[in-house]
Amino acid sequence: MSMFWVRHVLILELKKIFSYRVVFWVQFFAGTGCELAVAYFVWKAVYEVTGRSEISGFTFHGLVLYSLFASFSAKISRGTDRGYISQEIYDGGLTRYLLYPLPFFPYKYVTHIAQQIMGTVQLLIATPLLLYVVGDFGGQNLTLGSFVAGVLTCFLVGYLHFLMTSALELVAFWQDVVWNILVMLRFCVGLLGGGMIPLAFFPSWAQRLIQFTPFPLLVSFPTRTFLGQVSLQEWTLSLGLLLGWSMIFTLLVNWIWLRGVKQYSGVGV
Amino acid sequence: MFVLSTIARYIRLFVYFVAFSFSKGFEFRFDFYMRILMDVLYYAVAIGFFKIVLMHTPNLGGWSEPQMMIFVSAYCMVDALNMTLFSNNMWMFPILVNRGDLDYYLIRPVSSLFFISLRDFAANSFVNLIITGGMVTWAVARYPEPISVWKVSVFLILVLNGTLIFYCLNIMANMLVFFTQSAEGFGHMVWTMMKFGERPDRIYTGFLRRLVTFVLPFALIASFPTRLVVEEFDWHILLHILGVTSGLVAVTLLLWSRALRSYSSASS
Amino acid sequence: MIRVENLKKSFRVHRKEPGFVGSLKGLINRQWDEKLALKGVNLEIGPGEIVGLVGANGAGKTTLVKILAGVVHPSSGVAKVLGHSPWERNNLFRRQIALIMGQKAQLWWDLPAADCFLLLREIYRLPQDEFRASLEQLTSTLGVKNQMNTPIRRLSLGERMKMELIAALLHRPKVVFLDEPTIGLDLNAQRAMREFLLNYRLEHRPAMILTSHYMEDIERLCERIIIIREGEFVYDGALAKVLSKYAGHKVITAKLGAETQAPNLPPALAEVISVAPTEAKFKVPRLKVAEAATAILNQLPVIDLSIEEEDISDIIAKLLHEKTI
Repeated sequence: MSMFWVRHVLILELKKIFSYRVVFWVQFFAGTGCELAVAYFVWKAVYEVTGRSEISGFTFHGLVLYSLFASFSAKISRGTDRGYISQEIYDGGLTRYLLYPLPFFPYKYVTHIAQQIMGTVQLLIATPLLLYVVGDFGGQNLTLGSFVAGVLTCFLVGYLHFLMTSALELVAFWQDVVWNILVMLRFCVGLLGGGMIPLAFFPSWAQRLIQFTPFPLLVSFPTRTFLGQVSLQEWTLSLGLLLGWSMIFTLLVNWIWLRGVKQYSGVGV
Repeated sequence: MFVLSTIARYIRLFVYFVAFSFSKGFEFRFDFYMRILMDVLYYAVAIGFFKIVLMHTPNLGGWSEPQMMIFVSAYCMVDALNMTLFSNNMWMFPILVNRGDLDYYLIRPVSSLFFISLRDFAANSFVNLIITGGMVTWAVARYPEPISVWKVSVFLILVLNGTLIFYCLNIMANMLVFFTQSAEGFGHMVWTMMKFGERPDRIYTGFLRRLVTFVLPFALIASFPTRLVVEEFDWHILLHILGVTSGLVAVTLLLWSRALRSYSSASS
Repeated sequence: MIRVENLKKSFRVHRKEPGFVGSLKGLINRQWDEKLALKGVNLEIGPGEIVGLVGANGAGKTTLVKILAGVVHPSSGVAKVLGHSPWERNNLFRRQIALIMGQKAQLWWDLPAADCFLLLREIYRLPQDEFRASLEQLTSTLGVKNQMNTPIRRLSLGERMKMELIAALLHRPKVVFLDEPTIGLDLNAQRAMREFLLNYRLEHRPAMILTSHYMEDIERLCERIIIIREGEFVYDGALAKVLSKYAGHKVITAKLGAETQAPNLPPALAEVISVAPTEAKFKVPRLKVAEAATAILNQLPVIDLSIEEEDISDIIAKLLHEKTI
């Protein structure tokens, strides 16, 4: 099967995404601004009350930077979890994909990558802005190299994230309403992935348990890469773990897909 | 007299909304269970977040752990109330407007705002109301000092008030769809900004503080009511809440009539 | 019942440019286009009258109906329906009118019809017995008693339309506005709706204003039609008069007994519409029907001759394109 369509689809998706109107960008700035503002004030209060300059290896400014990169790592690895796949199963839009000479999941993955690119662009805009507001690197090892490594990690991790959301979206073959479980995934990734608080802050028993889940790979791992906290050895080890989880989920998604398509009626609502 | 009979009428209508919603018989069973699970997860994450933060500091925004739990239960209850009463309707709102279905609401001899905001009572989320009620009970019961009944009553009323505040902000954001012809409306921006209401208000300083206590009063939804319960009762706080809420409701109603005017002038 | 004086409506539509740059420009400098939907129309409709609004898309039909229903504010002029200015949305006014828009559902798709009607009863404050009688009559006439407890979204399009009709007429409105009510329905459903509306009208005598693209709707239901062209009324009067006044021609169809070549008739007398081996059709000026018929009978081997009015939709189309009336 030829891969000529990949470039074509990617460019099409990018065109579509980058033609979003002002509303989209307002939402982006407002949304990111809110998240970071809240994190800023929470940690500011914590550091003021305790009078400490460092908690679990993070200074106040370091923690603010962590929040930025955590938020964007989650976003970039997530691509989009608007539930398009489940929506298409629900309203019968899936049918056209079954007819196209295009493999469904690779196609969806390419659109996912397009979303990731948009997320990266937004990160490129937000980072200098935040650095300007915060004023310093907060004791973090943020360099151009670590930034690039971080972006790369996000894309690699994005594959697993894509698989996990897809697995959940395929439940739409059997159930009408699926957005609930997608939201639940977001919560899990948010807290247990280190999206809200660095995992270093968690009690040690919790940290040990969380390591058995794929969540830290999705947020904490890329974020710490951005901040230069990850050694090459740790990076390669984590990548190995990522590979393992990706294989498991690839098999899972395939299995669900085959069973789901068998009983797909194509009728929609 | 006329006012009383009008209120009675709207209460009767609302009872119909609720009755019909329940008689739909929890049609989407999977959705029913998943909503409960989803919200329980949300509550657990909220509690988990603060417990972890409070491991590293004796207090946040002036509150210790038991005080924080009362705060968390307050905003979880606001969330449950909002999910049950308003969320389905707010989600539908921009679709209604863009499809032109609003026309039908305008010709009925009943307040269109009332109808649009409350028609679809989410019986599927009803259990969450019970769960968050349980959370409030739990938080109050485990509080090291006894809390008087009247304080709890005031607290619950202010939680209802907090739901009203969130609704006003939500629907005002949604009303922008009249003026901007945006496809999905700005409603979910308010959900994003609710993060401000999910942290104790004392952490906010300066310009942002003024913003979230007056203009976009997220701090008044759960944080101020919590202060009345866990701290020395301060009449200023109560008056502040009531004053800003009244102003917010007035602005909402004004904006609604403007929005309808704009819709009526543009509808084609 | 309905009185309109010099009603004008213009819309300001802002020109949207696509893409990000376009919407950014739109924020700073909005370009507005002025669209004149109604240019000053006058109208009077009495109780029990049924009026059809005919015109091209965008001529102003829907705008007029929406103004009279109170959904749209006019730019200037007077409109009184049942003594009220509709856009003030007085509750007394709203309790006496109904609006039916084809393709746009007013019922709540997640509730069964029975619940929808109960809600409407509460909204319109219908006394229990009146409601029951009204509902009974409407459901038995339309034959939907068995579907009352099915959620609206599970009904077929035809059944849904019937429920929409019931919902609109439950409160026995004095004025009914119908905007393209039969659009999207199959032929049977269209016919059924027309029959129903006709019978309903005979029984309850509301005033009705109907817009439609289908000539059958207009022919079947309306005695009076208003032709709108670009926001102005070009004709307002009895449907029958349109034919006699503006139908300048009749159509003579001659069934032929044997194949012949084209007849030798002056085009001023009889214009050939079509010639087939066994049938020939001619367009003949009204005043010359007898003369033309005689000529045709003389020249062709006619077995059967029929004389008909010109198609009404042709007449109206002609009217719409005429420079002056």
